[in-house]
Amino acid sequence: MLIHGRAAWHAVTRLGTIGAVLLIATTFSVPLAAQPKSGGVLRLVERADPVGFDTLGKKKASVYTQSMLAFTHNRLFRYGPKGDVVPDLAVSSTHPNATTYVVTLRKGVHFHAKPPVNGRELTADDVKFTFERLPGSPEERLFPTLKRVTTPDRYTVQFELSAPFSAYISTLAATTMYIYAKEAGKPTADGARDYTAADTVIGTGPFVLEEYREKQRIVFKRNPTYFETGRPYLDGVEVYFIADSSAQLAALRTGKVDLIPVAAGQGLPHSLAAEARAIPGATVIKQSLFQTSENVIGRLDQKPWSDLRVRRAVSLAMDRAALMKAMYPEGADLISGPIPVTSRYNIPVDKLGEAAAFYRYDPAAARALLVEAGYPAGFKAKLYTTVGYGPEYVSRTELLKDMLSRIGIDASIVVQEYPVWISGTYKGNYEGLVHIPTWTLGDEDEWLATYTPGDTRNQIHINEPKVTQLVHGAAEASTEAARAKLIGQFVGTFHEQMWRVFLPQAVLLTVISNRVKGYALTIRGYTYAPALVNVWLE
Amino acid sequence: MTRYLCQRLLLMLPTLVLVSVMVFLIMRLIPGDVVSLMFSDLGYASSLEAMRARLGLDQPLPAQYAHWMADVLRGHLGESLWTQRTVVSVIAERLPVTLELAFLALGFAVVYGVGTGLVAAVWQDRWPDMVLRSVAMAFLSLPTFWLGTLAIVLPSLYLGWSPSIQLVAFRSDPLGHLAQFALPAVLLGTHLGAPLMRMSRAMTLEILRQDYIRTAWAKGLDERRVVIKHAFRNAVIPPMTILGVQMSQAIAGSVVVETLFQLPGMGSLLVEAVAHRDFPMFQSLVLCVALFVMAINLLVDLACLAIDPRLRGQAG
Repeated sequence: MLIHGRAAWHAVTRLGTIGAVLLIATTFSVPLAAQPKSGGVLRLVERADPVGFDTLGKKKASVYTQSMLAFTHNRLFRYGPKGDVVPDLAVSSTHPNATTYVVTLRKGVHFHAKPPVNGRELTADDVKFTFERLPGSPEERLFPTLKRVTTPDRYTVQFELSAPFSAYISTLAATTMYIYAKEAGKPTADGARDYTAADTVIGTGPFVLEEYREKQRIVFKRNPTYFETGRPYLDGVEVYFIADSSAQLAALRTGKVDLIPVAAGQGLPHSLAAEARAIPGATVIKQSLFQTSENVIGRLDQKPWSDLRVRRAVSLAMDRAALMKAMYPEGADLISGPIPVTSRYNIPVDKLGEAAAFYRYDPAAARALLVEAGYPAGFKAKLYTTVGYGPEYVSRTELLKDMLSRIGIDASIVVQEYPVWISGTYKGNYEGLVHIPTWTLGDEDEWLATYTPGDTRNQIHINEPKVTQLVHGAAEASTEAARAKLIGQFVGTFHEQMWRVFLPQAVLLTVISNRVKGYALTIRGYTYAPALVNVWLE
Repeated sequence: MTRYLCQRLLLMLPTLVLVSVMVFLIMRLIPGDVVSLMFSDLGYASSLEAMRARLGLDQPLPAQYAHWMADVLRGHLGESLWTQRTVVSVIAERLPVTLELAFLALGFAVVYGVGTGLVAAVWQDRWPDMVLRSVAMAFLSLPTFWLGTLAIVLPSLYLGWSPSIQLVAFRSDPLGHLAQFALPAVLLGTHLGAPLMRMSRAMTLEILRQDYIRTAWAKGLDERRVVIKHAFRNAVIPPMTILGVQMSQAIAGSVVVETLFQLPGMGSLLVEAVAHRDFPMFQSLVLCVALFVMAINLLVDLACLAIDPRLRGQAG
């Protein structure tokens, strides 16, 4: 039945008004920022199991152990999303004199409510106990000058050093320095405590370990008493151990997992990036990590590497753009070394002045330098590499050989088995050239220390008193400005002298489902778990 | 039969001793660099001397062997250097998975290999024969890791399905458990079944030309009866004899399949032991695999006796 007359007119105008209001509202409305939602279980993949759950045991902690403990434990400090050091269990630190650091702990932080710790409060004694575990542990190397740890009160820890160490606070953020509860560990015959077993995983972290099935998965549940109120948003996290990258992508594609993170310093292979992008509802994210790239080295105490002109010639022979295009289609940094390109002390190539010229590709100039150095016909040399880093690594060695041949360096590749490599060549026992990685994620001081005589990673046999002075000075600098200046001088000197010829550093790839919100990439350390505190699921 | 069994069991003993000596010596032939690696890079001991002592390398070779065999006979296979768990407990966890995978794969290989061999022989030089032979060669030639990757990637792309990413326990979900093993078993089985297919086909062709088969045709027996009742039983024996070898191939092939399909078996454990230079684990695993292959060979021989009465007379 039709509506006639005035009633119809009123209906039309009423509807029209409502429609106009809606139109205006949708046109000019400001979208609300996404609000975190509590609940849900995030599922992600790792390549391998942790090997025990102790980062301060007698054996060097696996990177997967460090990664998993980041779910359940805290450190005094940790790395923020930009690689900066931020407080974790600590609220503040002071530096009353050159050899003393005082750290104040948060109050009201509780261990997980699991026996035998039963949810008690964290105190300074737990920190002291943790540091007392260092002697005999491989992590003792992080604190060579630590003399004594005392606890003036329940929430204060005082570290006394035998010599200044300006990176002390950032070293406390190392991804092995989790704080342990003494009673959680199992007593050992020598009176120590062992934290290898899964039932000793009792920390103060945002998640509680609920289940561990070896080679299968680890299940974490939300810690209801976590010290960051309202966090984590997730009810839990399930970590599945899938070694093969294609299988990882298949699991993400079929909705069995939500995240393939950059883990243990590795991400999704570049060759699978296109396949990952084709997954509906998934995003591929690129990042540079706090690590340095592969490089070519020789012995500075032997010819021909002792000649700066030869080192510069090798650098000029490196067609880095071609290498990046062939091996890293998703992108790479031109070089990353001698300290990581993501370090705050890094000097970009375009700011290196005259030294920048030797990072271009110029085989003609390279040959001219070799002539000047007394090698008009080039020279022969062995080029060592290893299968221990996978077949793609050896493929890159072959590309390097080809590039060297264009300037007259006849490099014969010697492929070594990993045990022979790591116990010989990697420690500096070689003649000729080496294609070598420097992939650890330590602090800048760890990188710089490799350029001092006596360091086990002084593979290039450098012994320059001025460099040693710079390295020690940076470690002992009393202010950040002084430290930055000394490291800057080192970096500048390094590039002038080209002691290592650095190659491109690939960007790393994370693949994430679009239902995962709030995930911040971690550029430093082996751990992404702290970032999951702020993650929620749509 | 009992006498034959006892004879075979006694014969296994010197074979076991020989295998144990070989495994023992191979471990000791590894260059000193590896021991150095275990100490310096993997941190298995506090010094090189302590590392050698921990591995028992500081004693004379015969003493090392005697101690090791004494431990093995007592069931003490040592402790994993990598995980610090007893080798026995780790193998006990992983062995059932590999055994199940290997048996399922072999079972499929026998059904597929012998069955298709029979069909190919009966249809000799016609299209079923050519198709089946080509398929068998294809599965033999294509690497398992490539086929496995395709088996995971393609269903996820076109069917929205991927294998389970964790082991489904039989008790909690029997069908799900078997379904999880089905694809990897078929993958491994097609590779193992190819030589069985070719041998079955050859044997069946030879038997079908025998006089007694011709007599059976002449008597008017139907084709199914001639092939199944008379020819098959004789044709299946030679392929069965290679099952022992196929078992060791199944274990070797399980390495890739277990890794691809997230099955925590012994194949992947072997790879991990090598990668981590886990000396005690690797040594014990190789011995276990050798023991297992010998047991399978014995079972196959007994099966052949059961199938062929003529062999019982020779064995008896």
